Amino acid sequence: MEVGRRLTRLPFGPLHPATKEPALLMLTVDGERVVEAELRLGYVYRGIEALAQTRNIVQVLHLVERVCGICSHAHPFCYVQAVESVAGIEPPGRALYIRTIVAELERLQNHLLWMGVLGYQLGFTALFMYAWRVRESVLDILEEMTGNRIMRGVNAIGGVRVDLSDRVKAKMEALVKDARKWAAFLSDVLHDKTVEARLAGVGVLTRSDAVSTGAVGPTARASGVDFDVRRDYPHAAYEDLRGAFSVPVLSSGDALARAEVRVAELAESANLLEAALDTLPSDRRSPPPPHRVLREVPEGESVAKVEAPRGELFYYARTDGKGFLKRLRIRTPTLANLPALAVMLKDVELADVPAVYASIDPCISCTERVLVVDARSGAWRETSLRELGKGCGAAC
Amino acid sequence: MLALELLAAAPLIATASLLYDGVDRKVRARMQGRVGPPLVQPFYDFVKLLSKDRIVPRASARLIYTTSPLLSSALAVTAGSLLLAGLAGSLRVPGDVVLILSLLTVASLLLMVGGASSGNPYAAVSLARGVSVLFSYKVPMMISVIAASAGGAPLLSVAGAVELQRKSGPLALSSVSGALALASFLLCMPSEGEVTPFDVTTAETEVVYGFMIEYGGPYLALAKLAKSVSRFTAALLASSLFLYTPLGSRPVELAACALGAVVLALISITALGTFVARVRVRQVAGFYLRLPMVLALGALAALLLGRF
Amino acid sequence: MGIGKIMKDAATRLFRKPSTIGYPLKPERVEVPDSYRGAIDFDPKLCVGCMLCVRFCPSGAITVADKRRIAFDLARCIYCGQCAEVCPRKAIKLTKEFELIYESIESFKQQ
Ligand code: SF4
Ligand code: SF4
Repeated sequence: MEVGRRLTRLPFGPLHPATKEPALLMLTVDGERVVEAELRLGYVYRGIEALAQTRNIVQVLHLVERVCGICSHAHPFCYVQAVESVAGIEPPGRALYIRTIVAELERLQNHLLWMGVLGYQLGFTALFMYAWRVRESVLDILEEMTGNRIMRGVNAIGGVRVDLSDRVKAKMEALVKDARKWAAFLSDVLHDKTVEARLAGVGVLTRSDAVSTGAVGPTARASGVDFDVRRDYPHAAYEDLRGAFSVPVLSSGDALARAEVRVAELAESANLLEAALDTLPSDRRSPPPPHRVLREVPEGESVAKVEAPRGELFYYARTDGKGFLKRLRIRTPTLANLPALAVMLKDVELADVPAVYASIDPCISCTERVLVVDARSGAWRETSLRELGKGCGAAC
Repeated sequence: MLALELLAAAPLIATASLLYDGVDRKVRARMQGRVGPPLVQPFYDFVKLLSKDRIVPRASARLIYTTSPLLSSALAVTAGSLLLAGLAGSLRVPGDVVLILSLLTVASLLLMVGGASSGNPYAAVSLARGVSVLFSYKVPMMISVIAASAGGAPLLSVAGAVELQRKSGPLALSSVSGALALASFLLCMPSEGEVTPFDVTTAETEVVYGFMIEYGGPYLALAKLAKSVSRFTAALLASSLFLYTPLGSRPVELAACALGAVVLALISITALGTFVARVRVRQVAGFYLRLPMVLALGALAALLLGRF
Repeated sequence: MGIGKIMKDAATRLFRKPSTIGYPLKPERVEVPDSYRGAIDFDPKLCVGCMLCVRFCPSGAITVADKRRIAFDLARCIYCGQCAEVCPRKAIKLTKEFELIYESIESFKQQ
């Protein structure tokens, strides 16, 4: 530490209007400049993975739907794929399409929500409210289709629980057009001088940093990492829809690029939706009844991944052959992106912390699955990412 | 006599300020497609906050922390009342324009210091930011006001400016210097009112409401009152110095002047704050050194050129 | 580049009907779709006590008294609809009722 520098420790969280969810960024600032940022988690640990081992496979489906309130489709979407691959169940084609359609609608609403949050972080209230207002029209359609705005309960093991009526389908087709308009408008607003001044060149994550910290999703794609589970490990209907979408990749790696990637993904999701609605198969078949599922899933293990709105979501499931899970492991995209956040926050201005923090679209309560338990005393303690990095090295 | 009048003017300016806050919130909400709170919401807030417990952080410098909201709001209200008295023609003190602006400055400073005395690190960051913002916008603001009232109204008094405009029409419409000065003043108003894009001192996502962070209950009520009175007083000052319109009778003119203040505030505070993102601290100083400063100096130059 | 790109949208909004409503102070209500999963409507007369719903309820919101009489604890329920789905007698329905506001958890449970 240099002599004469006055360093202040500024707790950015766990209760902070910019973080929304309880995470603590312990900032060391020199005047307005952030010298060091240290992330501490552990405020919303819910023990979901342990809970999953006490429920049967069908019950866990509803449990994982509640891992995240925003991507409440991505989690069960991924989970059913893991279980289905253990059991060798092939869902009907229409079910795969419906899952895909809901996943893309979810991406739309997630990115719109995120745009709103970005607007809020920048004190740009009109953008905030615009994004959230148009997001409602996505949620309205999802509600009409599935009954609920979030926690939609679309997935079942071996199929889906809802069908797509022609009326909803027509509405979705109209939504596709709207979504393109929103994307065009939002990309225009991102280049508003006051917005650009706040985002361009801020919180830069270079490509090599993105690779070495293991960033995923839009965060990685804005740093030039050309990876998208939907294209590179196609599942559900993405295999058929390969030609319908492209993966936006930018190279500048700043907060503006992360925003632009998301806006471009809005348009790509619209393309995907359009293609999926066009080619929607008609083999309606209801999923096997739950008690049969419990009987039919053998002992085994499997992994699955999907491209959640925030990035690659990974599930590992090991079944015991009696209808229960021996182990469920969830790796959420935010967990993969948090180390990248620490890199981005080096040397930014205090004023930029909220925007940079938001730019990875963190979802803390989904991520909280890490708890260090002292085996001898049984006491648990919160852990900072840095300590964690020391403990398990590259493995995490 | 004057003291009595000021006493009568105080509730008037406080009410008008809170009412404008209500208009601001409503219009903002409607521009964002929301229903928004009722017009009198700021009054509800004020009363409710007054009724809450007084909490003083243990780490705070108690005396400063507890008295500064009161002092600050008293100073802001005094500034507003002086302006009203000047408008009504009963106050003819030379230099009262400068007095009003200085009172507003001291009111802001007091509040920042009071908040910073809470011991919260965010408040300390906010104080540092606030001082730099204060110095960057007060200079062009002061110059533009001087340019306006030095014209035909010597001695820099509100009453003088009003008399001048009663004779020759609104300053901003009748002279280049007035128009430039008004433009500069309008750009300074968002900083005076601490609203986006210049609300770096109290930005909730950056510094968690800055120096207001620890205030709650009656202290917060008074702190908010001080802010809202400063905001409206600045608008009213602009309206009376630059846009006072002769309409025959004084009460009508005063009402028009108040309305003008609301319109000016709607443009420079409400609308501007909705349309753009917040700037960075460094950018605030840079901004005020450029456009508003140039405008204000231009106004001064135009005035001098016109004279000689 | 440019400034105030959202200006036009915001300015026209000013004169349009807002997207929000004054709920709950104004007697306006947003209709929920028929497939909404709200408060549970259980018909004991139809129930045959097969216990399938109990087995599949993820939150343990369905309790069993003696003689296989089941009851719902709405404070635990997560409104997933799994019970209605597995019930062979269609004795369970999820209604459109979403205003589940009570003064205490006890009064809620008694529902
Ligand atoms: S809706 Fe779900 S949580 Fe509620 S009682 Fe039925 S199965 Fe249980
Ligand atoms: S599943 Fe239906 S019939 Fe069986 S116990 Fe539950 S309510 Fe009764």
